[in-house]
Amino acid sequence: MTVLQADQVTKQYRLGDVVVNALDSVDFRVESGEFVAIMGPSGSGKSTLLHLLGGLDGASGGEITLADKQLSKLDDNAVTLVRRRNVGFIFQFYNLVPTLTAEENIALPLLIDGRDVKKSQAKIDELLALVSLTDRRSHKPDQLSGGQQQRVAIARALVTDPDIVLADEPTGNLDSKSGKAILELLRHSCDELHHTIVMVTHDAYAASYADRVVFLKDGRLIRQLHRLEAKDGAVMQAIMDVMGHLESEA
Amino acid sequence: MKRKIGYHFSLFTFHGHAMSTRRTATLSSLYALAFRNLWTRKTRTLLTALGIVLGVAVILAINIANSSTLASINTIFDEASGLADLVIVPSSLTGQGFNEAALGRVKSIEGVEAAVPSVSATTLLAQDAKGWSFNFGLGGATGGNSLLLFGIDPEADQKARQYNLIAGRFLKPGERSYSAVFTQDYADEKNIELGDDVDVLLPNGTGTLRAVGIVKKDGPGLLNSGAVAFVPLEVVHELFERGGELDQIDIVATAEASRSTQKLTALREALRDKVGSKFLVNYPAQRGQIVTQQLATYQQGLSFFSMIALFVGGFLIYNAFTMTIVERTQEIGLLRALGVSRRQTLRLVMIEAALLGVIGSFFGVFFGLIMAQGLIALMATITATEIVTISIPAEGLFTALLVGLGVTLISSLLPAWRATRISPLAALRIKGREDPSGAPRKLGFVAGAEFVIVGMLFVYAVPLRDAVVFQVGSFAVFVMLLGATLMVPLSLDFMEKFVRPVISRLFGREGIIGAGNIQRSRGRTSLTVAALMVGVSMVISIGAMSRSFQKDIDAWVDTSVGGDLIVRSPLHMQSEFGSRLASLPGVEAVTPGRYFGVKRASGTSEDLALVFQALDPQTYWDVASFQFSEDRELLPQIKQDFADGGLLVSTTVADYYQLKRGDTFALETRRGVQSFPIAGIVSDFTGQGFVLNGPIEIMRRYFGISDVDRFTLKLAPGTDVNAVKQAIEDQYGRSRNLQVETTESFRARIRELTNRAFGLLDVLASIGVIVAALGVINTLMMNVLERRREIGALRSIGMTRAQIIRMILAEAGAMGAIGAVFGIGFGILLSRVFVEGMKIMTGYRLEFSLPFQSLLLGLAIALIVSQVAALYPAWKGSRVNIVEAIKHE
Repeated sequence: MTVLQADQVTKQYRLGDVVVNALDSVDFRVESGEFVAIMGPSGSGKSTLLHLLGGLDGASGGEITLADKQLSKLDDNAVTLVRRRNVGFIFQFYNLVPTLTAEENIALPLLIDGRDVKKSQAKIDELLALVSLTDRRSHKPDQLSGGQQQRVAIARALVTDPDIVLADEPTGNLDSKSGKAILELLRHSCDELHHTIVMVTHDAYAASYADRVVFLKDGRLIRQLHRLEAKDGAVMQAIMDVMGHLESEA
Repeated sequence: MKRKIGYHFSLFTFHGHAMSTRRTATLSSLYALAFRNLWTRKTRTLLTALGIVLGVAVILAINIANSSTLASINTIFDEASGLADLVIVPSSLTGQGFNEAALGRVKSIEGVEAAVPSVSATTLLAQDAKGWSFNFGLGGATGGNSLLLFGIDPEADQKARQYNLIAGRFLKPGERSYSAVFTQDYADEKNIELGDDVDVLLPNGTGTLRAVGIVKKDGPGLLNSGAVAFVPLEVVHELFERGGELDQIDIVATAEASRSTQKLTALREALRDKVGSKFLVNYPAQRGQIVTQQLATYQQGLSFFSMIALFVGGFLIYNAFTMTIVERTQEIGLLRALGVSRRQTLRLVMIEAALLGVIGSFFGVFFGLIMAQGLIALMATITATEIVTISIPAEGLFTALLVGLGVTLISSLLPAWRATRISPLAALRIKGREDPSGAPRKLGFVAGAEFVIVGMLFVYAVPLRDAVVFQVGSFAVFVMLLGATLMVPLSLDFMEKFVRPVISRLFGREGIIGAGNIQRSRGRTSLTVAALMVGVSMVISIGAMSRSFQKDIDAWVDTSVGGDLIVRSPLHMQSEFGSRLASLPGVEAVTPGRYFGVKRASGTSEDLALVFQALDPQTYWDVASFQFSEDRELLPQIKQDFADGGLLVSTTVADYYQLKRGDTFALETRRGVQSFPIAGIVSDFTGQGFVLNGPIEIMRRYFGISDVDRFTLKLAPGTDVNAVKQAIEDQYGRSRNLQVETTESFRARIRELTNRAFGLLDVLASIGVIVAALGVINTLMMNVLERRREIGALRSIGMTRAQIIRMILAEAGAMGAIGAVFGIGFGILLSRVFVEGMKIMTGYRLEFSLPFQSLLLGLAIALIVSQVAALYPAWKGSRVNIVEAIKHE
């Protein structure tokens, strides 16, 4: 089942008199339960694509369909509701609310949606256990390490059982050990909990956890790589080869 | 290393004379940065500058208004005396003249160039008799539309006074005809033309004057606000049966004496010796003493509140400047990384502060001048004084500018120092400033509590000399305000928990986040809460002070302004007329009254100017009463002592001279110094409290006054007040030119004047609230800026714009609620201090009254102000571009 679909999506920015084409006629689909990584050189439009897919920004052309809703036809409030109920976001810099505890940060989307948090307590406890932070539930962000904060962010992204999880460089601000733990968590949530994940990364190692990697260059989707295509299972090497090729053509 | 940094920054070292041209380039680049920073953040600059503008404007406006009022009073008397260096008047100040033989005695004294006599009488144009009304203001009674007949010796007068003749002729030397010279304004108002015969009221009918000349309303034309006619001395003598009497002698000193302060002082002493203690020899402007004295307390109050406005303004400046530093943490960190030293960083910030201070002060002066116009108009109404001189004291202007700049620089010192502590590395990532550890907050709380206690002790426990009461009292209040401010940070945590459930209930889920946010940036939030606290406490304490005053005034009015009707006349009435009034149907009792000025014996000319209210002990108690300081049991004895010639002295006078029942009080009278026993001490707001009440017999025997200026009537129960009023007007109104007013109407007018006077203070209190509102805007704008990424994240996980707005409004609501709680608590404390301070300064026995409405008003103001002030920042927060925000490092 297609969870997310982008058809001929374009995005232009005006910088003074110059028009910049950040994305150019991108077609992109994500099936339920998939883990997709988006890669590309700097300025390729990967973050821009992620923002459009999550309704954080509007496309200049084309259509994005998420949870059977065409985002271009929705007003700001309606898009916000889609984000709230159908999308889970994970950011590079965690973006937790500093005055709330880990548990409260996880419950925040429910709170925003007007739901009775007490009724979802079991779910919250489950997520805390999933991210191994049960004993840290009452800690505030400044009492948690970077890796722990990112795990809280992941739990928050999953609390509404979203149709899709969008992660923007989730390991970008972490050391390799913490990063690995995060990636394993994402992989686990995909394999065991059947979440659908789209992750933007510049890191081949991170991308190697995905089922499929799509490559952008100059705003265009130019290549895809399924993990099954990699020779002898050397997924990371295959990814690096493609990236090296892309960067050398620049 | 400096070469690598670049041209501009390589110029940061100063070595020897050869580098002097480079010093200019460095200085100009720093200035350019400072100016650019202010220009780039226009909204922030405007908001910060507004605090300075308001503070400076209020200080200057009040300074100008006070100064103009006093200057006008002095100008009127000074200009009216023209070239005179000294003026001789009777020391009894009754308005009764003295024998013209005194003129001959002073002419012969060395140093006297000319001795210029004058005598005056108050009358009314016959055409105005019907419309005459008794008017009053804080500066005392005014005559409504009365006309001052100023009798002069036309030949001698030219030596002392200069008239600006516009039409006709002036009085001729030796002229004794009923010729009169009017001022242009008065003539225009009353349609008097040259050659017209003008009827004026006399004690026994009317008299006719011929208008022979018109002068400009300047110099002596300023007397009685221009309602003055100059006539020959003899005309006043004849018309008002004042034969051989003078009211004042203006002394023009010789050129030599005039030029030397020492010689003028010596001349004054010589004149005093010559004329004796029955006369006062004053400088002309001192004639305005009684009015200026009566305004002094009110003006001191205004000055005090202007300083409070500045205190609140200083808050805003400190708050805003702290935020500016936080906002530019990254930029400053970058400069430091490029090689700018800590000293240069400090200089950069202080230059910015100086620029802001200059801009703010400049606009503050501009708005202060505009505000002064409105304030002067209001003061003129309240004080019943015509403001003829707009005095912009150089000292006041300079003070306002200095204060504005000074406060800005002082307020920005700490933020500037903090800027120098910014590490280049940490500053390159914008992070909320670490909250200070608990220790400084605890220290601040303890210090703050001590300040509050010390401030209160100064007001309640330390006996102060009168001369310093105002200054020390003001300082004590400042100390208390500062102390309360220092107590806020530590109390914030507790207060937030207290307030959070309420905010959550009001704002829903967003309220939980919003209310919790005030724990971040504690310093900034504390300052904002403190500013709200000051604003709210000002409103409450001024409300309490006003209410306490008004309650006492109401009680005084209800007690002392007794009876049902008051009968007055522009010209004094014969006391026998009282029996005619008493014979009217429905009239149960009639009591006369008369005011005149008196002077304490053996006092200097700098002594208090007092009002004597003459009352009839036989009839007064049937109509009205007093509020006595003594026990009720003593009342019959007090009344007897009063009837036997004792005085009922006001609490103000009693406090000033340390008097009690049984003491004596000596006055200058026409029969020399007389001591009168004090029968009792009473609350009396007449003449701002500088009043003695005495039997009418004292007035006759010792001051030579036999007429009265009013009768108060008490009617039999059930009598129609208006019917009796009409009967008096029909029977006697025209022939005696009477004005009849119900006491109800008179009381209402007194209350209205009091309301207006205190209304002005309420306006000033609101300045504090406005500045607090600016503080809230500043704080929340800064919060939105600092939390852009967080807001972006909240939007990305599904918070709508409306929810963001509610969250920020909730944060503001929490600040407002906490500010209200602090404000109400401190306001109750401060209101007691204000009332106590007023009691000490004025001598009134004020009973503390804290209206519940003031507390509700304080609460409402804090909540409403915080919400209104938060609207723009909340809207800005809701418009945060999500993508930009989450990319923001």
